[in-house]
Amino acid sequence: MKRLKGELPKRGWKIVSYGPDSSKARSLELTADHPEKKFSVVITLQDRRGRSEDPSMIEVDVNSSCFQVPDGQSVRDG
Amino acid sequence: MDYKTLKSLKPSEFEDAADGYRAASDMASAAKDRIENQLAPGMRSSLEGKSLEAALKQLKSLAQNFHYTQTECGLVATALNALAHDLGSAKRKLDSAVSGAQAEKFTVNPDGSVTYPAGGEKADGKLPEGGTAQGTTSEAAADVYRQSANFNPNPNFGRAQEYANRIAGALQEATEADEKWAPKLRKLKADDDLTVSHRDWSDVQSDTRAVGKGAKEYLETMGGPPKDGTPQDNAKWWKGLSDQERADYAALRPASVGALDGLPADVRDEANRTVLAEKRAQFQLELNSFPPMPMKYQPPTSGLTRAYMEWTEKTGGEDRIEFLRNSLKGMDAIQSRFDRTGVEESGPPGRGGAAGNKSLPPAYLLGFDPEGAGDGRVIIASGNPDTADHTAVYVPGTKASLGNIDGDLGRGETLWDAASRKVPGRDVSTITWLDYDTPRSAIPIMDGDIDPEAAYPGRAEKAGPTLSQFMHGVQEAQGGPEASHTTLVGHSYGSTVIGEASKHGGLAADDVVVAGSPGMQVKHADDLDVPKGHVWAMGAPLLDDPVPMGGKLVGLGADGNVPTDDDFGANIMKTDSSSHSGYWDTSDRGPSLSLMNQAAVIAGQHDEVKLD
Repeated sequence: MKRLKGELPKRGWKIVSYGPDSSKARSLELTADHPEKKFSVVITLQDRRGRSEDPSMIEVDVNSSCFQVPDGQSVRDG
Repeated sequence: MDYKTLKSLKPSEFEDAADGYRAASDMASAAKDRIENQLAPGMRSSLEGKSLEAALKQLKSLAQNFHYTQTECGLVATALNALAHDLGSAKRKLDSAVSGAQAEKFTVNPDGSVTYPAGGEKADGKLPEGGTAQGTTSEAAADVYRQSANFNPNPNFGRAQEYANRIAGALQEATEADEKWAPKLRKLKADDDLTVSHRDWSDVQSDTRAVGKGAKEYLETMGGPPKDGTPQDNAKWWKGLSDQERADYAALRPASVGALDGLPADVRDEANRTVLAEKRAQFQLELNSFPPMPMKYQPPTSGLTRAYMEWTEKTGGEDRIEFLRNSLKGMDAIQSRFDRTGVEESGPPGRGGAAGNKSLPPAYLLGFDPEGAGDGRVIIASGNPDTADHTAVYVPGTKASLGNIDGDLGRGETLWDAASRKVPGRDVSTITWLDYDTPRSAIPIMDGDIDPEAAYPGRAEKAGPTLSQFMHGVQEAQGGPEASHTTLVGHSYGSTVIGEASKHGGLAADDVVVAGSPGMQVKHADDLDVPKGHVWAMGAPLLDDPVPMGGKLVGLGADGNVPTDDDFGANIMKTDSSSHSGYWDTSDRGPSLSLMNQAAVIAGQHDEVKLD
C-alpha cells in the first residue's frame, strides 16, 4: 500500500485519501483520481489474518467517466 | 387379453423397456445440460461476432430438441412403468387363482375355465359328477352360480366356480389396462420434423395429463408429498422413493415437484424448466390465436359494445392479453438468464458489476408459476445453493412481478458477482425470490396511488410464512443449519416480508440485510430470527429515499421503529445510493459502496462492512 501511495502520483494519479476506512476492521484504504484520463480508484487492503479463514486480499475498484466516441472515429483511435 | 397371454406375460419386460426409455431421457438431459452449462457458455466467453450468434442459435435449437426428447422419453418410461404396474396387479390375481385351483387338483383350461373332478357324498353308489365352470365377471351371474352351488351335491363346483370367476376378473383387469394404455403409448410419438414447436410442447402438456390420468394407481403406490408437510417431511418422502419412482413422479407432476420445499435444487430446476417450456408454448399459442378484439365502444353511447363484452367473457379479453404478454416477457427474462451462464459479469452501468473475470455460474429455477401468489412466482439461484459456502436470498419489494423480473434477476447476479469477488475460493449462491403478491405502489401519488398499497402489512403477513417455508427448504436441501452461511437481503417492502417470516416460522438464516426498509413489523433488531448483531440496514438520506420515513409514519415498523433508526439496534451500513432503488447500482463516479457492503455480509466478512 505504501508503494502504491508512492508510485501512483508518478503515473499521473492524485492521492485523495489514505487511511483506515469506516469498517470495524479499519482497513487501509487509498483513494486516488487521475485527472487527465478521468479515472478514479479505491484500493482497500483486506488483511484478514486473525479475523477470517479466507485469504487476505487487496480490493481494487476502478471507475471512469462516461465517454462517447466522436463521429468518424473509433474507440481504438488515441 | 386371454388366459394364455396373461399367464405367460412378464410385466418386468415392460419395466425393462421403461428403463431403456429412462436411459434415453437421462442421456438427452445430460446432453442438454452440457450444451447449456458448458458448450454455450464456453463459446460466449471466448468468441464473438455473427458466426457466434449463428452457432449459439443452432446450439439452442439442439438443446431444445434434447429437452423435448428428455421429457417425452420420460413420459414413455412412466407410462410403461404404470402399465407394468397395472398388468402386474392383474397377473398376481391370476397367478393366485390358478395356483389355488391347481392345489385343489382342479384343471385350468386354456380358455380360463376350471374343470373339477367328481366329488362329494355318494348317492346311489355313485359320486356326483365333475364338470367345468365357466368364469364370469358379472355380479348377477356370479350370484346365480352361488345359488346353484348350494344345490349341487358336488362341493367342487362352487369352489371351481369361484376360481373361474377370479380368473375371469384378472383377465378383465388386464384387458382394461391394455386398452387404456395402448392409445396413450401410441400418442407418445414425436412428429417427424426436427423443430420442436410450440405445438409440440403443448402436446407434451396434454401427454402428461393423459399419462397422469392413466397412472393414477401407479402414482398412488408412491404416495405423494405429505399433506401440509414441512420441508423436512418433503425431503424424507423424496429420499424414500427409488430412483425410478422419483423420475416417474417428476415426469407426471413437474409443477408440484418444482414447488416442493426441501427437495434438492437440481430436481426442482429440472421440473420447473419443463413447466417453463410448456407454459411458454401454451401462452404463445394462445396469444397467436387470440380472436381479434371487436370494437370496444359504440358511439354515441359511452357503453361497451355487446360484441366486446362477449369477447371478454369468452377469451378473458384485454386483461388476459396483458397477462399473456407480461408472462412471456418474464419468461424471456428467465431464458436470458440461462443464456448468460458463462458470460463475464460486466455490462452497462447499473446492470452488471464492475468489469472482472467472474463468469456467471449455472442458474437453478427453484420456482416458476406464471400466476403464483398474484404477480407470478420466480425463484432463481445463480450457483447451486445445496453446495454453496455462502447463500444469499434477495427479496424484492413493490411492483416486482414476473413481467418485470429482469431487473430483480440482475440484482441477484450483481450480488453474486460482488460477493464472489470478496471470497474467490468459495462457492456462492444468490437467489432472487419472488413468490408473493407485491404491492403496486410505495410512494404516494408518484407511484400512482394516493394511498400506496405498500402502506399496509397485509401482503407481507401473507407472504411471511411462504418465505419462511422456502428458507427452511433451502436449509433442508443443504443438509442443515450449519451447512451454509445464509444471508437474507430485503429491499423496501421485501424487508417487511422478511420481518413477517421471522415472526411466523423463522428465517433459517445467519444474517439479515435490508435496504430502504419501511419497517419490519418488529421493534428491535434483536427480535429478528438471526443471532444478535447480525442485522444490517442501509437507507439513503430522506430526500433521496422517502420510503423508510413513509413506513415509519404508517406503522410498518413496530412502535414506529424502522431498521435505519438508531434505536432499532441494527448495524447501519454506509450507502451511496441516491434513490430508493439505487442500492445495487454501480455508479460511474465512484465505487459502489452499497453493493460492496452487502457483499461483505453475504461473504461472511462482517468486519469489512463500512459503517455509518
